[in-house]
Amino acid sequence: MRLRKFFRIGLDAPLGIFLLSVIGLALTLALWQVASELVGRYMPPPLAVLNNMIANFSASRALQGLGLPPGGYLPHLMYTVWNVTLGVSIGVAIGITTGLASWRWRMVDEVTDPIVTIFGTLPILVAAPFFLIWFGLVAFAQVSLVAFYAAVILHLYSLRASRNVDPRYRDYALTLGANDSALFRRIMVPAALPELVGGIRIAFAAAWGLAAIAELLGAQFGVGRVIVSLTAVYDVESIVSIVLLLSAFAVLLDVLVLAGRAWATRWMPREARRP
Amino acid sequence: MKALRRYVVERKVSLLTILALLLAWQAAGYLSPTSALRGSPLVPPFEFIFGPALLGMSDYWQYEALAPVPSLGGEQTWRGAFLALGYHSALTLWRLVSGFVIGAVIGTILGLLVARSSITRGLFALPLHLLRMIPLLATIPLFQFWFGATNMSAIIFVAYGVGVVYFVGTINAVSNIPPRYIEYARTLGASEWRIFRSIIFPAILPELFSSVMLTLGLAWSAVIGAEYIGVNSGIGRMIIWAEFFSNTGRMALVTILLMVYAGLSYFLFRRIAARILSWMPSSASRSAVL
Repeated sequence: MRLRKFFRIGLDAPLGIFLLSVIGLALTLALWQVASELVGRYMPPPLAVLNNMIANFSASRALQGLGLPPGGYLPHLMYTVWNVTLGVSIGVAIGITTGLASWRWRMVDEVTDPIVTIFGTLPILVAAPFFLIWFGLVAFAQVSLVAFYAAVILHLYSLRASRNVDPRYRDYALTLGANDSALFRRIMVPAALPELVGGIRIAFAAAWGLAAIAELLGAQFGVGRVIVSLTAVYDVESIVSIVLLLSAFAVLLDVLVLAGRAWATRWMPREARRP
Repeated sequence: MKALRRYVVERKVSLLTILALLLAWQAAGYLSPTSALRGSPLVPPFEFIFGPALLGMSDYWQYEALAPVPSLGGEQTWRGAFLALGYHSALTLWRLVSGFVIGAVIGTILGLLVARSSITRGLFALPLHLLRMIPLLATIPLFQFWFGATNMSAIIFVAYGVGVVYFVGTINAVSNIPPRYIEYARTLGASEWRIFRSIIFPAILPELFSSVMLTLGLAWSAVIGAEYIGVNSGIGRMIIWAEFFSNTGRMALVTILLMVYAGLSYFLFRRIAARILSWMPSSASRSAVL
């Protein structure tokens, strides 16, 4: 039965969507190939990039030649992925806590509101050189930059999400004698979850670039550091490779976050799951 | 006067918070160890930022006709400082605005073209999603290879970053329009252009505006990023010049300036959006502008 549904004819059927996606991807790669023929050296063709990824993934003489530690792209990717994940996790924890606290206590809102307004409008990138001067060229600078950004985003998202929760849910729970802890655990967090996940995805999306640029400005390890070294020797092929590999990790983490949302909201009716 | 007093009373906790933050910064400036290098305290106090650091911005002035040029042996002047700040701010703002407009217009047009049929929508869905997952700021060196470390390259970079968001946003917005609206107009004999003008465009407007709020921050990051590691001018570049000598006072000054610019750009845009979307029910327009 399920299989029949999959093979149903039509553009909105799963098979149709799948085929269109594959064709679209193939067309993109063809376009890229044509572009590389036209541009030449600075636009390496897709196959060359793929070969480069495979050849340098876990061991690379080219990177060693640039004075980077042996081990290819993988350790640098893991370093950046770890920094981003750690930073976003810390930021999400802080942001959700302050966001929900601002919803519950007016005082907290009045204190955090100006801080969030200032740092929400400030392009956080300008803080990167400060973080590098204060904390040095260690991972702490990148992690705290990402954490800071994620905390601001999640504060805004959780505040808005908790204000969007139907007040009847809260009132009902309070009438039944719920205390603050139960109110947050049983009502607010579950109800706000779909929107919170939206915030987490936004935070992740920007965090990759932030971490990379913090490393570009000064780091001894990580994807940004590799890009700097490769830029110096005009190795565009390797730059494209490592940027695309980082994007692959970004897609992977996004899929994981979405899977987490699907799991955490499995009790919800289907239409309520999407914010 | 009365309105001001009421504002102060209503917002007293927020205002006190801001004051506490400023005082904390100032205190940190006095308490933190000072570097052996002149002009680079670890946390610059405010009188340093708006005193020697501001005056020092005249080091970045290059045209002798209007003010002395310190790099040619001239002295540091206030006029030179403000000219240098104004010149590089203008460059950055020009890159931001032109890149933003080009990206938004091209992105929206491409989105409208693709959204016309479900076949093209299906074709573009996956490649666009993957394109959007590429970390924008990590691709700055690539744009330098393709377009050079020039003004044009920075504009193209901003336009690309902004354009992708509009491209995707427009497609989503068009596919969210209830098909009934379009069918109804078609039944009444509306032409394609008329349908676009009276139904599709107004319906996707709120979505476009919420994209503006999202992309404004993105465009600021993009233009500063491009100046950090590419183009050798602009206000973002000034931070790097200052960082080279650990001139924290100058870095803080430019940061404050950027804070003001970004805040102003958000404020201006909110006003414009509220004006244009005034026909919508207030809750819908507010959520679009938020």
